[in-house]
Amino acid sequence: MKAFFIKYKWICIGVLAAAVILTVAFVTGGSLNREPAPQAVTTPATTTAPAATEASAATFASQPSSAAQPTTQATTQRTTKAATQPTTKAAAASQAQPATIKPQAATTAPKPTDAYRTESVPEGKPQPQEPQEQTIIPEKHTCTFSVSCASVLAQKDTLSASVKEVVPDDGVILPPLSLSFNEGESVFDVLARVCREQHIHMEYTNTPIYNSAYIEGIGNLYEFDCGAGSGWMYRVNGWFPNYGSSRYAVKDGDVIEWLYTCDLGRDIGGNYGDQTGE
Amino acid sequence: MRDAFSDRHPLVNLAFFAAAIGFAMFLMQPVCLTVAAVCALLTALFYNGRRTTALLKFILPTAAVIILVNPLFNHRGATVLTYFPWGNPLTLESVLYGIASAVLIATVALWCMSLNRVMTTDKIVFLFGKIAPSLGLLLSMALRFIPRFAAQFKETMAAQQQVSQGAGKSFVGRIKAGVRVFSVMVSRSMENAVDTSDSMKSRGYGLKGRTAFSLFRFYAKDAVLLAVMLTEAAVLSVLLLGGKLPFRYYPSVKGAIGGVWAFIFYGIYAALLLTPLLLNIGEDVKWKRLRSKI
Repeated sequence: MKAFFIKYKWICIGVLAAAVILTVAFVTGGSLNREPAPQAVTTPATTTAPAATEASAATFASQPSSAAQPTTQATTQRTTKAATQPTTKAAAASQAQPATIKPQAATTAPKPTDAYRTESVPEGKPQPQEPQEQTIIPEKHTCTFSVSCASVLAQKDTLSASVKEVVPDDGVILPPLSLSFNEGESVFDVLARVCREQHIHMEYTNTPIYNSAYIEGIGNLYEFDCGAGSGWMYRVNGWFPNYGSSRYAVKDGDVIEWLYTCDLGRDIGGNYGDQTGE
Repeated sequence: MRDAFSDRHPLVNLAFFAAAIGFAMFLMQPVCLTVAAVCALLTALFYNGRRTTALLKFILPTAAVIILVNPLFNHRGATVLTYFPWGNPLTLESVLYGIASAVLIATVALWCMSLNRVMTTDKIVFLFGKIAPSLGLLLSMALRFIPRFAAQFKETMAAQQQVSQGAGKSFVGRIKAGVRVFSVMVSRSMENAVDTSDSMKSRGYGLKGRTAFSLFRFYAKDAVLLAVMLTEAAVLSVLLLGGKLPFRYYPSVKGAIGGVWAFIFYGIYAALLLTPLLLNIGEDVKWKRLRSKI
């Protein structure tokens, strides 16, 4: 064993160094969810500056505090890890500008999005709240909650027997229910809790790229069970939020509805076309 | 392998395994799964003898992994047993489906074990040599590759150990020796393949108008056996497509277990799957009866 280390000293050191570099890059980057900024690889300090001005100039910028000091952050990151790897630089650069990232502004002019690919929230609607930043305060509020798949009823005859079995005759999986919740809970938290209490089946997957849970099925009625455009959406006070249910902090008196769509939301009044709100 | 079933025409053998594996892959109904698993196990024991237990050491852990993994990733099902720590439900249906698919995969593996013993290289080349010469040769070479590779690997390993005494003591030394043997084996098997194809080419394999000698003859009893098996398979397919045996696991386990049609199906299915064993038993009975008369 000793002879092994002496003989392969440099290989061992190299492997260890690579592992350390990768670990540092992974921990400090934390940017698996974010869009990489390709042009930032060469000169991170210069590219973050215009991004910061864009962010502060735009009206929808929701996190001006993070846009205020990107340049210093980027430069410090660069000096400490200048000798490592391009991935570290890219990670440092993308961490420095979480507010707005425009990867291909010249070619396609996409709508500006936040770190989790959410486009701007309409005037007067609540901004997304990141679930990991929320603290649950045991302060009782009440909201109204319901789950419905009434949109399926029109096409019930065309469905397979296994889907028909799970669709209730009136399309109501959970009638409107007044229930209490704690401060800081999201729509997803409430859904998960209600489904357990009411013994309703529910399956979800976490989608880190949108920082939210994606609801695959409620009451064994799954996405794609009623055609390629079908799945679960949620509506709060008559509005289909354009971000995930884990990021919607419930407020006192909110009316939450989980609705099954067969046509990407068009049949239940949501109008994003290809964008589902889960 | 020489027995009453393997001595039948290769086409009969192929038809049997095609039907057995085909039905085994598509039938998830629990009674059918049981019938197929039992028949496959009996047939594998008959053809492989003691080797079956060695192979079951691979098949059973695979089945266990499938049983464990399915409920972890599949949360469908109306009966929620409990919840995973991350919030998704553990359902009775996903557990049952995991067991069913594990049995299914074990059954197919067992059939393939018997297939390997019955369908020898000469039978494959005979069956495919005329229709698709290169495919037949490729199939026969591929099926022979792994056992031959293992045998030659042992040979090379022994030779290398004699040549380089003491090199394989340390961990790195052992890895080095293993890599060397493996690289030797890669070139050796390539050479084997090239040799085989050259040799076959020089004999005019696959040329037009070339005839092939074989000991296989299609007797009348082969025709009868083939007709019986095809009829059985056709009846089973008709019953299946006609929806006489509905069964589903999600969202709740539902389907027909009993009923006239179901029992007809089980009977025919078992008769089809037991063909090799029944042939052999029949042969034994005949032999004993003839001998006692002398």
